[in-house]
Amino acid sequence: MDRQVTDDRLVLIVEDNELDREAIERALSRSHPELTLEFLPDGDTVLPRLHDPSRPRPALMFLDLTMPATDGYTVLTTVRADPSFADMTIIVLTSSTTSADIDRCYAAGADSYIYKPVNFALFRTVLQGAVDYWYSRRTDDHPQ
Amino acid sequence: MEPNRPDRWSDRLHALWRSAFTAASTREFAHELYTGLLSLSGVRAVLGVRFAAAGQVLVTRWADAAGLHTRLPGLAADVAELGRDLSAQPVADITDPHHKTMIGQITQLPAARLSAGLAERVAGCGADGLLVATLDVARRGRGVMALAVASAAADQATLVTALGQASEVVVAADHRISEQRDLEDQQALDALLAEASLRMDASLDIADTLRAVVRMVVPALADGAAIHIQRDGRMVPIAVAHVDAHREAPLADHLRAGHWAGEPVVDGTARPTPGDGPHPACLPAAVGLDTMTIAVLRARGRDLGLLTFFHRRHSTWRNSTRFLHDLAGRAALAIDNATLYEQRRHDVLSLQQHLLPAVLPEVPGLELAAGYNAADHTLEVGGDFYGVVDQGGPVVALVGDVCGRGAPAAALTGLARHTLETVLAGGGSPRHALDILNRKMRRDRISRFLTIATATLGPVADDVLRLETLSAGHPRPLIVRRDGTVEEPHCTGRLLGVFDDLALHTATDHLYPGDLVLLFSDGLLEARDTDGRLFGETELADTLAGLRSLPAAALVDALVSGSDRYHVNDDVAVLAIRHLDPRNGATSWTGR
Repeated sequence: MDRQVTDDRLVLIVEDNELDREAIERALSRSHPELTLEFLPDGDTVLPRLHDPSRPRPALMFLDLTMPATDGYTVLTTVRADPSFADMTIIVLTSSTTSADIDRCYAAGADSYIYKPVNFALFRTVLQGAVDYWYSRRTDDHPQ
Repeated sequence: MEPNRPDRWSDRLHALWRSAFTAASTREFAHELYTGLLSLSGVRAVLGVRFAAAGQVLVTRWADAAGLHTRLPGLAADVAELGRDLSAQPVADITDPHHKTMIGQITQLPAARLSAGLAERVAGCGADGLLVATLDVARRGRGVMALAVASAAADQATLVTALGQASEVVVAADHRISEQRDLEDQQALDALLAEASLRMDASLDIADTLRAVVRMVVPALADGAAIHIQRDGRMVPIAVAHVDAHREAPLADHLRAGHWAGEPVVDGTARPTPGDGPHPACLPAAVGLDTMTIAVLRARGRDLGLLTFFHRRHSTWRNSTRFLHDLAGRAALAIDNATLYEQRRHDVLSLQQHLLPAVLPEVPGLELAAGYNAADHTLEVGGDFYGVVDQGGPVVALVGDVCGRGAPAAALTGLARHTLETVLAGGGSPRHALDILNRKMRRDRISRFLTIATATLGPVADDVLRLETLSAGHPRPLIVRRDGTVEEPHCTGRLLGVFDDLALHTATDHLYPGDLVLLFSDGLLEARDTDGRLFGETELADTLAGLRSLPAAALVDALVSGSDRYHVNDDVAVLAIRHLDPRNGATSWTGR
């Protein structure tokens, strides 16, 4: 029986690029200091982490699409295949804007498909916009 | 408080100024601020509240002996009325030391004037009243810094001074941080505009590009975005994005159906103007977007489409209206440029087609095929041409190349083809035709020159076909023998339009059944592979030998496409004529 609880303030970030991890931490810790950020450097560690009974589940996951070994798309399809993670918001982060990539991720169950810009100020705005939207949705869906 | 102690207020204040001027948010120096005020004699708790311009409580902080707490449950309701109507009884004004302007007031409030909840909190920490500073904070908001004071243990004058000093730090830092955020927001907008513009400038696939642009905008500046483009007299949505993947399809469906608040703009009965604020979006609840701002995509005096940003109610987007209009202006230019380019390219290809023969004549005993490649993404007509004249006697084939591109080159191409074919159709020889054209160009002082090669085929005797070739400054034709041998006839001559005497030397050869003669323009020789090697210098002869068994049309197509190895980046005209073998059932070339 799965006894993991979901920590509404916990955000999991799966990103292989160290610079991007650092940028995400810098941006989110400033715009949303109330959130707890947890980073994973590759796709292989996501499922073991999510199934770890000793740790809370994240409410939201940022998922880089392009990673060596297990890529973001594979992580997305695997996590979405498990109904116990249905409540977790998954935001795909990618530098691709091609329709084929977007359609593929939507079909696999991504909640958002976010373009990852190069400029930090813009990246911060993008992350803030996504987090604001999904936390306001969670509040609307589960009013306290 | 004693002088020269580490917790001396003046030292704490000094440190607080330093922290406040490096902090990226007031949160970063909150602990230092609240702990410092709490250290003052008689202060039992410190309260901080930020109100939005509309009056709602945004943030509350409370520090007492138990520590600093943000958003204590129930505190927002307890302080909702705090700070209103205090202007009547100030005990001090807070003045901006740099600008000498008043930024707030300090008032003393006994517990009896507080809300029941707040009075309980104040009493609970051993205080009997609040010393309240009301402040003007950034974005037309209001702030409150308050000290819960046990009046018996406090020196009011000292506390008023300290609260005023702490409030100055808060207000100064808050305005600086707000300005810094405005600057960063502007940097984000500039970056987005630059990236979107770069994307739009780099591609001529406008629909694909605009889809990428709305994806870049959401969720950086809006929760949803759409671009409509004018097509066949009506606005059609071609790019739609929603931050919520599950709501994107309902948004797209609704826009396609036209049932939204923007419909009057789409059908032309209303027109948004710059500065138009957000309007109700009138989208179904399932889409989850409440307001919209629309900008017309207008370039060179024509309405080309619409750009719309959608937002949720209470979303905190700022500055996006001006950005919307900036982006709309650039998108409009990109659409207009792409449309004009496509139109011009179509016109050029159409004109080019009219400068070439619609069909080649059918000549018994000969297999003829021609191919033409227009240079990549060119917006000017090229000067390469070919033609075949069959008047019942020897057949004359020609390939020419007018120097340059554009309308003047096209005019000379038309003149050259018309002149040559008229002389040839009248029974004149190719040498005579070239001479007449050269004299006309010299007489009319046409500043351009042209090169040309001709091949005259016939008569035939004992299945051997006579071939005479001429080259006026042009790549010489090539003979591809049935066994794969490639020969270059020894014809020579000068280009047309420069010298009075073309100094033409005719080469005479013979084509045996299965042999082929190839005429072409220099664009074929100059095609390059990925290593930069020229087709004409490396593999053309070998390629021709390998392709010799193909039907003439397939052989020409293979050459024009660079034999899949060479990139043909210029105009190229190719004409192939094969002497068919009557033993293989071909109609024999007779009687010419």
